Amino acid sequence: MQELVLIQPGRTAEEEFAQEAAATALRHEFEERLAECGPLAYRVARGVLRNSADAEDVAQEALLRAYRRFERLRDRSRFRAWLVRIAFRLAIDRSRSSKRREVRETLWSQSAPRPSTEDVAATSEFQAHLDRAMEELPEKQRLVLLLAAMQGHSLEAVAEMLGLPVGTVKSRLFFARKRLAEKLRCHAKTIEKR
Amino acid sequence: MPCEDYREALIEAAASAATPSRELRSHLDGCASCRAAITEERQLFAVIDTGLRATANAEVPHSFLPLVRASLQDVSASQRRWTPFLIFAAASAAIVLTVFIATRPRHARNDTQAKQILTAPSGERAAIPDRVEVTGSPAVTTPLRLHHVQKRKNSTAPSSVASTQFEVLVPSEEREAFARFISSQLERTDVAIAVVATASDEKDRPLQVEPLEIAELEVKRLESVMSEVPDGTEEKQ
Repeated sequence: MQELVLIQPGRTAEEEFAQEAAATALRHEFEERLAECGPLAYRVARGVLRNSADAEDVAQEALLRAYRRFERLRDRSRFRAWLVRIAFRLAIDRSRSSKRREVRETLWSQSAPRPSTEDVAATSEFQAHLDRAMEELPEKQRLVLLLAAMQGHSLEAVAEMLGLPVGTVKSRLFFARKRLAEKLRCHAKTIEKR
Repeated sequence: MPCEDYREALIEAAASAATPSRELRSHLDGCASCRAAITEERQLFAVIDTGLRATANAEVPHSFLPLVRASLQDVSASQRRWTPFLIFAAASAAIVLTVFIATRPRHARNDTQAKQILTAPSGERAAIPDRVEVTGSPAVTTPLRLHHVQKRKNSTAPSSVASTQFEVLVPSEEREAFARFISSQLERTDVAIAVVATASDEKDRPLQVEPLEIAELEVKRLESVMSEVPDGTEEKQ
């Protein structure tokens, strides 16, 4: 399909084409990163929201937002960290707003979106407790915990991604796990007894 | 039950997934309950880690990346479509702002006008509509900025102490001396500018108050009043 380009009056065609070429190059560069970072954004959102449909929405929104501002990102090597932050922030916002909505619509629970079969499969009793305990963690610890749990992410990689010293990542991870254990100890015992 | 002294150390060793300290290891060698406790803790952390990995490594839907690519295409197309309109809107806004700033009334002109009015001959001064007079005293009020005076007259807001508008109240016996002072100042410099105006005769007229009319007082005997009290204490007596 032929694409029509609106030429602004007072500007030469060369300028238009140069601008067009720059935009295309930018999009190609972004799309190259998309294959690598798209799943990361999705997983971060999924880790916070625990719902595939919401995570997909949020990750898409994060990627589009990143694309709109991609030109302004000076250090392109920081793209992953930048995207992770955008996705995490958007997911947290979505989670909060959906919680508010849940409170408002408790009587209308029939109309609430149903979790997919994948979500149902992933949600065992312990998993539900774990999700709840994770929600109560401070945001900084939560993000470190999620990124460290992702396959192929060493502590050094997480530290680099978040622009933090490795020691800080280690301590956040330690306190996050300890706090989770405190909350889940009793649940783990009751499940084991059955 | 683990030993109370080592309880925290056991949890920390399990949480950090590091090898326990030499002291803890030697204690674990001789304490079966602590060994059981640390095994339990490690199992708990293993379950937590499994749950975390399940959450963090969820499979990405196949439709996700193609959808994002399609959205990117839409975004870049709409950006291209809107760019000329945005430029046009920004240019229009800039022109409107420039015209507004150029045609905006300035305070400097008001000050000049005020000075012109104030330095006018005394016959014309009486006709100044913006003059402020203080009611109830034979005094003269001197507006230095007519612009502000007019604004304040129409305003319901209480007057501020920090206002740039200031007024001079002059008793009637000092009016002539003040007028001479003002005229000398006007000749010399424009630091002090004042209007001298005689307060109207109506304000000098003494205030007339109508005599008060008081109805006749009815005097009752105290005993009869006491007997009318509703609780009936007087009636009992």
